[in-house]
Amino acid sequence: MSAILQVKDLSKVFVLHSVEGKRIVGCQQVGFTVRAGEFVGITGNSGGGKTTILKCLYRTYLPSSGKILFDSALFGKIDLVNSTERDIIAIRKHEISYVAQFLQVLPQMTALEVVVEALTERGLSYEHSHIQASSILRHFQLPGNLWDILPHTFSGGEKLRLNLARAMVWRPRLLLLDEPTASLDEQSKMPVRDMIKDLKEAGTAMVGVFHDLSFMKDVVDRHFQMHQGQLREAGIA
Amino acid sequence: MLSVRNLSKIYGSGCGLCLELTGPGVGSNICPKCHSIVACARIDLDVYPGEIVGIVGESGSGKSTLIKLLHFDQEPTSGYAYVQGFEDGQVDMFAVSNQKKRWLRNHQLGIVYQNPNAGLNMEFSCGGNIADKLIAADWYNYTRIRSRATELMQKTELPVQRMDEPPKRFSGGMQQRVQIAKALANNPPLLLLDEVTTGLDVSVQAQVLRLIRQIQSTLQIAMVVVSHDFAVIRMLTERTLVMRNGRVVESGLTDQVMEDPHHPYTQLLINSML
Repeated sequence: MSAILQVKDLSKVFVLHSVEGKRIVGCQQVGFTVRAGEFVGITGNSGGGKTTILKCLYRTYLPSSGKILFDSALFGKIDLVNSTERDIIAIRKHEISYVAQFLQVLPQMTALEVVVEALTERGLSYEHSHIQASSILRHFQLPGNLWDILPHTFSGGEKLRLNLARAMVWRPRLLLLDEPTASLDEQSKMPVRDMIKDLKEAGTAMVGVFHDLSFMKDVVDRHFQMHQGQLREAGIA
Repeated sequence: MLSVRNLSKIYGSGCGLCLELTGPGVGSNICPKCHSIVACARIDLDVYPGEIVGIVGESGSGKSTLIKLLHFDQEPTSGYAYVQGFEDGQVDMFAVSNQKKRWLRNHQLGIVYQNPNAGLNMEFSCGGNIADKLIAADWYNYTRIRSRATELMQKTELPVQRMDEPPKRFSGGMQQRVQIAKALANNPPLLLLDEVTTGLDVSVQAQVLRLIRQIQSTLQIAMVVVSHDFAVIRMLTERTLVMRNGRVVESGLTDQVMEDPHHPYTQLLINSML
């Protein structure tokens, strides 16, 4: 299988001007590769830099140094560290998806509309979007009586499932997951596991950040540990 | 589709040193020598088809002046701008005759002001305000104008039966929607939005934001959204420019500007958010 993502010597340092230019190291000299259909899991303590890596990959953080080589269907091999904003926007639209820890949606949009929009934004017709959105919400067992309700009224677990549905429904080439099971009970984790396996079979490369080791062991191909901003391979699962 | 280069606007006589002696470095946009006000200095801005670009900054940072320059409400002191739909983007839109500027404004641009009084005639009927823009864009047939106004009112969720009432009888949120309907009337490829949700209560603000998003996703109109409110910018835009003292101090992907700001001023703005 070919590499979808190669991360080389990735470092991120935050400079805080309000505290006399104090420097905070997010991650240092991180390197790993993810192939098509492969799931790479990263664990570590809170504040260890796990989310920093994910946000660098999505370019929410601008890396300080290093390379993130992404095998793009649109642009060929491209280094996300110094790609233009326009290219990143196109890649986010068509190739890389991100499941954040917290749901952020436009006010006054219903749960179903949130997922439908993820598809119509990507050029699918409203009718098709509606069918696919309904099917993934059913898969994630989001109760039908919540579909036409505004998500800010949801419980943590319901929000998370909506977030997962929105990010996974369009089947990205690379999926970044930040604690995808954090607020889910055992029964709700099952469909997440199934969906990850399904995407793996379809060739989606995934990087996930976890505290939930037992869940991760079921889906992961390779496991890294993050400690004080540095990444170490923890063994092959 | 819009490309702005080196755009400056100085209010006052100007002394040749204004741009050097002002800016975020000195923390002021008033020239110490000639007391002119540098509202915009050497602004570069690119807008691509169908995208929404945000401009944030505190009051007096020059955001609204930038919008006014682009809509020919003010004349720039120097600089260039090229629009794809005008002479294939080869001719500077500030350098052409007033007649051509009017054509550009009527056929290529739509604007929504913070204050509905600036964009609407409060005494005219709602339909008349929309017709105003259509007549300017060379629509002459009464029936066609009326049906277009109906269509626009439906699109912006205004009650069609109130078409013949003047906007002064409408609520603030409705007036803003009349402005949006008017701005969209001629199907402009570029829409300029200046603090459109400022002063609206939060539920109405949410409706207007949603309407703007719907317009962008269904009509693929490019927009420049000016706001001092990062929440609005985050909801609407993918790219953002941060302005201070007439300068662009930082620009980038909206989530990156908000979560990983680099300029001291942007960090201060983000740290000051509620």
